[in-house]
Amino acid sequence: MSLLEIIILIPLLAAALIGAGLPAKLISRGAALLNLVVLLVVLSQHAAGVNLAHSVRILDNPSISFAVGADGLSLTLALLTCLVLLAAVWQIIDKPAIYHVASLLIAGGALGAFLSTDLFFIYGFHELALIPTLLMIAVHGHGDATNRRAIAWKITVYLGAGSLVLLAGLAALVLNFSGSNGLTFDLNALMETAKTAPLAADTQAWLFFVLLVGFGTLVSLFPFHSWAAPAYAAAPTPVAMLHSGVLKKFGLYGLIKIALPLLPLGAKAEWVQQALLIMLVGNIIVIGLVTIHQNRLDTMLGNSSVMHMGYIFLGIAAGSPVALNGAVLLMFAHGISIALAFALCGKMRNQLGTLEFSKLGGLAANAPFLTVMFAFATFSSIGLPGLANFAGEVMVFVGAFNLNLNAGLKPIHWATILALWGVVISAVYMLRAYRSLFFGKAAEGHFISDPVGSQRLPLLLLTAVLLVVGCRPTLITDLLTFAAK
Amino acid sequence: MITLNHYLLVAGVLFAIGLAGVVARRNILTIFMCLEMMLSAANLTLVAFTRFHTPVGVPDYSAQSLVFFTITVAAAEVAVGLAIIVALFRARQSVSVESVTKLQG
Amino acid sequence: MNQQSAVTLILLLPLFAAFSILVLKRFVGDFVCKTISVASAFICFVTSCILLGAEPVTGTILTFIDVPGLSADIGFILDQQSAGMMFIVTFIGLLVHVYSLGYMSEDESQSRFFGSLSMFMFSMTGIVLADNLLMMFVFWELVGLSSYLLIGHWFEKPSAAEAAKKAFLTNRIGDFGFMIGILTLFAASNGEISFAALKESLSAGSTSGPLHDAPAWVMTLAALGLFMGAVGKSAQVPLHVWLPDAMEGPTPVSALIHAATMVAAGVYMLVRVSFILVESELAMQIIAGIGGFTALFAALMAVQQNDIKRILAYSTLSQLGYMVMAVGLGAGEAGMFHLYTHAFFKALLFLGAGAVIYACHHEQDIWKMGGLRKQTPATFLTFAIGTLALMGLPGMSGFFSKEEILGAAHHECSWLFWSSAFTALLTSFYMTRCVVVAFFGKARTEHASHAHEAPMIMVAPLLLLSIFAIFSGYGFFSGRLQAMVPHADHGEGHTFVMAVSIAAVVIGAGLGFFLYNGKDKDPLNIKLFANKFYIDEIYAFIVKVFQDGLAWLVTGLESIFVDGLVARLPAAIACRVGKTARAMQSGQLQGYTFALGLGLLLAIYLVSQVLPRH
Repeated sequence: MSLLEIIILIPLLAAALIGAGLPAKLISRGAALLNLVVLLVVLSQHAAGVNLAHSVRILDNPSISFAVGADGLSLTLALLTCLVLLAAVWQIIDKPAIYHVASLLIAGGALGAFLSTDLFFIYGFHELALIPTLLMIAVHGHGDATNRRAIAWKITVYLGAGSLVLLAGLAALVLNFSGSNGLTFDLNALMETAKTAPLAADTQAWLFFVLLVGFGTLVSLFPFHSWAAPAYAAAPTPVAMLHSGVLKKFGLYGLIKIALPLLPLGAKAEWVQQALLIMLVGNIIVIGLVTIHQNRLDTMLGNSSVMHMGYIFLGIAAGSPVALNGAVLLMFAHGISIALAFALCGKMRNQLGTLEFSKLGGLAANAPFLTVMFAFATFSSIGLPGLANFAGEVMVFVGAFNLNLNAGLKPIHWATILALWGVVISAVYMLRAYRSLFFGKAAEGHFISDPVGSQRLPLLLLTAVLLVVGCRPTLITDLLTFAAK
Repeated sequence: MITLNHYLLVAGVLFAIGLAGVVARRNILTIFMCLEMMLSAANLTLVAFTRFHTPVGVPDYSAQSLVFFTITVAAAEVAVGLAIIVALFRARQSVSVESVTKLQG
Repeated sequence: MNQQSAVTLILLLPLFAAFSILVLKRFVGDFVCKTISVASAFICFVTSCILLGAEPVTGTILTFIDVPGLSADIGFILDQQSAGMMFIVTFIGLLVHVYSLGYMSEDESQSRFFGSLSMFMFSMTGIVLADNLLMMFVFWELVGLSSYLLIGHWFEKPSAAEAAKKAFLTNRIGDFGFMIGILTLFAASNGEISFAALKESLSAGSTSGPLHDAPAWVMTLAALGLFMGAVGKSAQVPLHVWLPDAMEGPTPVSALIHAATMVAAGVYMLVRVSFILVESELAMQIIAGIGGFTALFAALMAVQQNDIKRILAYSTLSQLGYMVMAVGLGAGEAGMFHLYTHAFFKALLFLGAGAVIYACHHEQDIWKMGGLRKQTPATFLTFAIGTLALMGLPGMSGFFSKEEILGAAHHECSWLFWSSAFTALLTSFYMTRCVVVAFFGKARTEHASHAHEAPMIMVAPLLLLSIFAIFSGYGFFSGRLQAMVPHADHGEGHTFVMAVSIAAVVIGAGLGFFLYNGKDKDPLNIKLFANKFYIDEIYAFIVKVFQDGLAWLVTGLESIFVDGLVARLPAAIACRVGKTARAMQSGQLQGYTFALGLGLLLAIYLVSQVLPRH
C-alpha cells in the first residue's frame, strides 16, 4: 500500500463516512488536513529520491492495473488539489452534508487522475470527479431551477462529448503503442514502446489533434469553451473552486504527461501548431473581450478562467522546457488564485444576494479584510510579480518567443504578442471589477462584513501560497524535470 | 381456357383488396374481415396450384392439405382476436382503430 | 558590513516594513506603523550615503527562476548610475516620509499610507539596483502597484479610484511593449537578460555575439519595445494621460512618485539600456521626437491649468520630455543630470504646493489664492527658489542641466532645439503665472486671507530641498553626485545655446509677470490647452468604441457563432432527428401494418432480384 494510494483513498473514504451519517464538517476538514500532511510527507520523500510507485494488477488481457506513481508534475497538481480541497471544505458553512461529500469526491477523483499511471484509471478517475460536479450544479446551483438544469444539461453533454473524443484518442494510443505483449494501458509501458517504435509523423499529427480536442474540451479551449462560464456562475462555491481550480487542469495535465511524450512529432506538425495557436489566441483575445463585456462578478470570473487557459496552451504549443515549466507553474498558480477568487465571490454572494457591478460599490468601507484578499486575487490573476502567476506567465512568454528571429516573426511570435496583450485585457476587467465593487461610494443597502475567526483561514492559506510561490517559484519548478531535447 | 394465371390473378386481386381494407378501414371488425379475405386469397392460391400443377399420373395434394391448416389457424385467430376486440370495446367504448394509440412514442 | 548585505538591507528593509504594517495594522496603533516606516526610510538613506563612494560591484540576492533555458536572479548592480539614483530616491523618500508625518496627521488611514510608501521604496530600489531586464520588469510592475495604492489612497472618492485604475492600466500598456522588448532581446541573444551579458553579446570583439549579428529590425523592435515601457512609466505622449489624474493622490505622493522617482524610472531604464538603443537609428529618432513633442505639448497644456498641482504635473511631463529627448539625442548623461536636478526642485515645488494647499485649507485653485507672499513667507521663498530652478535661471541647478540638454539638441537636431527653447519659454511663462497668481497681489478668498505657515515638520524638508535645488548643479557641491554624472562635452555653439536659454527664461518670465500681475481672472482663455487638447475625451471615445463596443460585438458573435455552431447547432440537430424518429412511433396499428407490407415487398424484391445476381 503506497502513500500515494492513501492520498487518493482518504477523500473517498471520508465521503463514504459522511454519507453514512458522521458529522460532515469535522470529517471533511480532518480528511483534507490529513491529506495535505500526507502529501507533504510524500513530497519530502520524493525530494529524497524514494520511488513511490505501486501497482495492483486488475486485468491481464488487456493489461489494466491500479498503478500509482509520482513525478514532479503529478505531485505539483496533487499539491494543488489538496490545498484547494482544504480551502473549499473549510469555507462551507451552513450547507447540507452533500456539499462536503461532493467536494471530497471531486478531490478524490482528481487526485486519482493525477497520481495514476494507468490510462484506464486516469480516465476513470476524472469521470468519477466530473459526476458530482454535474449533479451539484443541477441540484444545488444558483439561479432558478429551469436555468440551472439547462446549464447542467449543457455541461454534462458537452463534457461527455469531449470525454468521448478523448476516449477515442486514448484508445488509439493504446492500440498503437501496446507493443507485442497484447494490449496494455500502463503509461510507462506505452512510453517505452513509443520511444522504440514511434508512429509516422502524419499519424502522430492527427492523433495529437484528436487528443487536443478531447483534452481541450475538458479545459475549455476555444471554440469548445461555452460550457464553462455559465457553469461556474451557477455552481455552488466549493464545486466552482474545485472544478475551475483543479479539475480543469486535468486536460492540460493529460496533454503534457500523455500526449506530448507519446506523440512528440504530432505537437510540432505545422498544421497542428497553427490550429492550436489560433485556438489559444481565441481563448485569450476573444474570451478576454467577452469577459470585459460581463457585468456580474461570477460570469466575469468564469470567463476569465477560460481566458487564462490560453496562456497554458501557449506553453504547451511552444514545448520547450522553459515554456513547459511555465505552463505547469501557471496551472498551479491559476488554480490557487481562481479558487481564492471564487471563494471570495461565494462569500460576497451569500451576504449581498447580487453580484452585479452596477448595483454594488464601496464595499471596502466595511470589509477591510475581504478588500485585501480580493486585491491579492485580482493582482495575482493579472500577473503581478511577487504573486505566483507572474513567474509562470513570464516563463511561458519567454519559452514561446525564444525562436530564432533571423528569419522573421513566425506565427508563434505573433501568437505570443497577442497573448501578451491579454495581460492588458485582464488588468482592464479585474481592476474595473475591483473598483466597481470595493471602491467609490457605498451603494444603497448593500454592504458586507468580514468573515470572522476560522473562516479567514482558507483565504489566508491560499493567499500565503500565492505569495510564497510568487517570491520563490523555484519551489515548484525544482520538482519538475523537463529536460532540454 | 381457364389457366393457372387466371386463378392467381383473382387470388392476387382478392389479397390486394384485403390489404387495402386492413390499412385503410377504421372499424376494427371490418379490418378483421379484410384480414380473413387475405387468408382466403392465400387458400385460393394453394388450391389452384394443386389443381393445375398435377403431372399426369399421381396427383400432389400437399398444397391442398395446407389449406386445412390455414383455415384452422384462421379460426383460432378470429376467436382470440374477437375476444381482444371485445375487451378493447369495454375499455375504450369504441371500435374505431384510432382509439388504440397508447403505444405512441 | 560588506556591500552585499548593505544593498540587501536597502532593498528588503522597506518590504519588511510594509509587510509588518499590513499584518500588525489592526493590533498596534498608527504611531508604531508610522515609526516603522520612517525608521526604515532613514536607515535606507544612511546606508545609501555610505554606499555613495563605493567601488562598482554586482551580486545576487535571490534566485528567482531557475529552469533549463532561463535563469533569472534578483541581483544588483552598484555602479555610478545606481548609487547616485539610490541617493536621490532614499533622500527624497526620507524627506517625503517626514513631510507626510505633518501633512497626513489628520488622515484616518495613516498606517495604510505609510505602508504603501514603504512598499514604494522597496519597488523603486529594486528598479534602481536591477542587474537584469527581468528583475527590472518585476520591480517596474511593483512600482505600478505601489502607485495604484498611493493614488487611490482616498478610495472612497470615485475620482481617486478611477485615477488609480487609469494609472495602472496605462502603465500596463507600456509594460506590454516593455515585455516585447525583453522577449526580443532574449530571443536574439540566445537567452541572455542581464545587462552585462547583453552588452557582451552586442560587442564586436566577443567570440560569440549573437546580438551583434542580429538584423536591424530586431534591434529596432527591441529598442522600441523597451522605450514603450518608458513611455508608460514616464508618461510620454500618448500614454501621458495618467499623470495629471494621479494628482488625486495626497500631495506627498505626487512629490515622491510623480515628480522625483517613479516617473524618472523610465528615463533611468532608458539610460541603462542605452547601449541597445544606440544600435537603432530609427528608434533613437523616435525617442527624441516623442520626448521633444511631449515637452512642448505638456507645456502648452500647463499654460491654462488652474489647479496648482496640475500645473506642476504638466510641468513634470514637460521636463520628462526633455530627459527622454536627451536620451534620444545620444546625451543620456545629460538626461540623468536633469533627472537629478529635477528631482530636487520638483519635489520641492510639490511639497511647497502641499504646504500652500494646507495653508489655504485644502484649496487647490490658484485663482482662489493670492497674497500668500506675506502670509506664508517661508513657503513662498522655497517655492520661488524651486520655480527659478525649474525655469533655469542662470546659477540654479536647473540651468546647468537644461543647458546640457539644449546643447545636445543644438548639436544634433535643429528643429528639436528650437522647440525645446520655445518650451523653456513656456515653462518660464506658466511658472511665473503660477507664482504671481498664487503668491502675489491680494487674497481672493477668505481662506487665502487667513492662510498661515505650515508646521515646521513640513517646512524643514522644503528648506533642505531648496539648498539642493540651488546647488546641485555645481561641481563642487555635488562632488559626490557629479561623480555619477559624467560631464557631457561642450561643443561649439555653447555660448549661443546659453544665450537662447537665458533669453527664453527672461522673455517667458517677463510675459508672465506682465500678463498676470494684479489680475483676478485669467486674461487668456485658450480652451484647447485648458481641456488638455481633449485627449481624455478622445481616449474615452476610443475605449468606448474599440474596447467596450468591440467586447459587445465579440460577445454577440461568440454567442451566435461559436456557442451556436459548436453547442446549440448539434443540440438542435439531435432534437430534430429525435422528433422525426418519434413520428414513426405513431401508435397507429394501420401505420405499422403498412410499414410491414412495404418491408415485405422490399424483402421479396431483395431476395428474388438482388441476391441471385451476386
